[in-house]
Amino acid sequence: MDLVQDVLDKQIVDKNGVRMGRVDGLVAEMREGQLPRLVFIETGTVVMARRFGARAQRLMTALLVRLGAARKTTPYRIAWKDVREIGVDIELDVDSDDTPVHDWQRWLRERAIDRIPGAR
Amino acid sequence: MKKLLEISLGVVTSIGGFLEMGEMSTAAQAGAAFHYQLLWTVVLGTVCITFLTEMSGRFAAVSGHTIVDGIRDRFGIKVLALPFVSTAIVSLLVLSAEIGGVSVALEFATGIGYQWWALPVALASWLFLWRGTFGMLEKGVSLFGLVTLCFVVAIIRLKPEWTQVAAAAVPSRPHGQAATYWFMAASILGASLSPTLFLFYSSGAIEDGWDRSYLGPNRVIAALGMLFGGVISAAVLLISAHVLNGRGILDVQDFHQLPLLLVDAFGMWGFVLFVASLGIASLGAALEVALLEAYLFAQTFGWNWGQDCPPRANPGFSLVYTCALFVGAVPIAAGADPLKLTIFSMALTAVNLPLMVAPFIVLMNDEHYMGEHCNGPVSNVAVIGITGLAFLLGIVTLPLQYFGGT
Amino acid sequence: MARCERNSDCSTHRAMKPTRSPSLTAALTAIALLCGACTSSNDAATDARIVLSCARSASQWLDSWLDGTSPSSYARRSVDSASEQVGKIAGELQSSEPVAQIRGVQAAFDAARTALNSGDRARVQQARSTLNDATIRLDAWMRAHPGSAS
Repeated sequence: MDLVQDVLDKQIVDKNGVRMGRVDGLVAEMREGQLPRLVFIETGTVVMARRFGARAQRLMTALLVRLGAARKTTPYRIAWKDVREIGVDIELDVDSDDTPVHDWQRWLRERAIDRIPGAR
Repeated sequence: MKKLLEISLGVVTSIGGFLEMGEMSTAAQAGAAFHYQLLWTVVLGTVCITFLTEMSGRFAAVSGHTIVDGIRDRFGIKVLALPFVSTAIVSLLVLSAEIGGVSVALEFATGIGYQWWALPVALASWLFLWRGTFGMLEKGVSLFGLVTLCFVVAIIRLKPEWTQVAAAAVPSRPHGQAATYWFMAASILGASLSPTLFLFYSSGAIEDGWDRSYLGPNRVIAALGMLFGGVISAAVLLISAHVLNGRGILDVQDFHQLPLLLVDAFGMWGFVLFVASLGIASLGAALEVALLEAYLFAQTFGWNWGQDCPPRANPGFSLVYTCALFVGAVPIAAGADPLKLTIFSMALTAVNLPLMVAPFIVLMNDEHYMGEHCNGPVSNVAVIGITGLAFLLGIVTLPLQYFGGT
Repeated sequence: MARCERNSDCSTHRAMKPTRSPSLTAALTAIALLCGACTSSNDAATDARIVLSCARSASQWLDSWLDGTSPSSYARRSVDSASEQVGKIAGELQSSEPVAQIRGVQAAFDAARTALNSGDRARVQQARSTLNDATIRLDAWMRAHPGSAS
């Protein structure tokens, strides 16, 4: 499997078909004399920023801290064993509600969206 | 039978949704300044958008991706970053232009200045998206958009010399005012080839759950919908040539001149039909562009999206179209001239085109995504050629138009 | 745990970006200069043409007011708007331009606006014919001075 072509930047979907971000980064274990082994896939704003270089990563981290979202600076890692299938999207065995990826959207829902009539 | 109904609906909504503030303004200006001469740009633009739309639907049906989704999938975030940012900005300007179009129509209808209508229009559009479903939007507003067929009726009533019209469908060089001519060509191409149309179409195909069985219907919808829509655009240009250029009105600098297009053919009803056409067409476009911004963000970053879900299900998606609508209303509310803003945004669209079209063409020729449904040479040549032309014209004439002297 | 930096610009993934080669830039600059040289209209002709377009549009609006084919508020606002544009051009005229003719159009516009505001048919008809005369004079100037954009 070509990690870059088949895994990186793919849409991640939970076991109910809810989209939960894209594969922004990969974490692999280097092994002596063997190909690296993929251990985690990472998703998160800072990981995405890192793809543009170290300075971009620092800027994004600083921005998130400034906005009071320091929690978002740690990327969310999904263990490779939780990946159920790779098709058009990467399907996971987890429920997105059990993960922190949608925390900011939940915050938005509580603070803003639910206060506006007709949101249901 | 069900497919036949879907095809008919698809064609009808494409026709009804084709014309908007951009097409109207650019065609009206071109017809006034150069009579029939710029008709070939409408023809080229229509041909290209037909190919792009068909490709867009085929891509979604076969690969299961929307275009933006596919670009990130295939090329990664670093390549998507620039088209994402530029398309988001240009689309915001186009959204302002469409809100301007609705506001202008309301000014004509009520006598209250367009600046006052900008925020109410944004609010009404927002309500549509907040409470509506994708199906309702797609069908509802676009069906009402069929009122724009009145332009076709009008040009038939004006009895033009059809041989002259046919001759103008072939590219020709201007006899004077070359910079203006080519700038208008760029803006017409930008108006026809708005990425909002083909990017939106692929998201719509995924929302509607298209699969390979829809390849045939897709071709019919794209061909008939875009071609008939193009006829309406052409009608606006031809009418302008008759009613404006024919009377020695060579410059359309003031949006107040636009309703004159239909008063000739329809008298009192002409004014009503024009206002209805402009208002409904621009409203439909505003809703589409606002949704497009939301799709753009959601698909780039992998958020959940879907017009059919209630807003609270996808807060990020809802937030984007909400912000887009209210930010888009600001320039109009602040008094920016809607006509000038429209023309500028159309020319910018032409310049932005290759950033989205280039990766898209690569995807359309990639077997990994398209299987045996890759592009043939005709599609490739047509799209690359015409978008290349639009870009070239735009990049050269835009600085001349706005920073150089004419 | 060692982290493998994935660079998405790997060789498996040559993405298509708009080319930025120097030769392309040079070609575009050349085309831009060429197009600049092609521009034939000059300021006087452009101003005259725009004022003429405004005047003729105003005739249309006055006509539609007179025969009721459009709402009176539309005609009034349109004439106001065009009048502003003519005023702007009239305020920046140079000596080589048809000053008298454009001022004539401006005066006709003022008459039209007053007439529309008064709502008096006779005055609007009078304004219509004043505007017509001013338009003919400006048009005559343009025909006598070719090299102006058609």
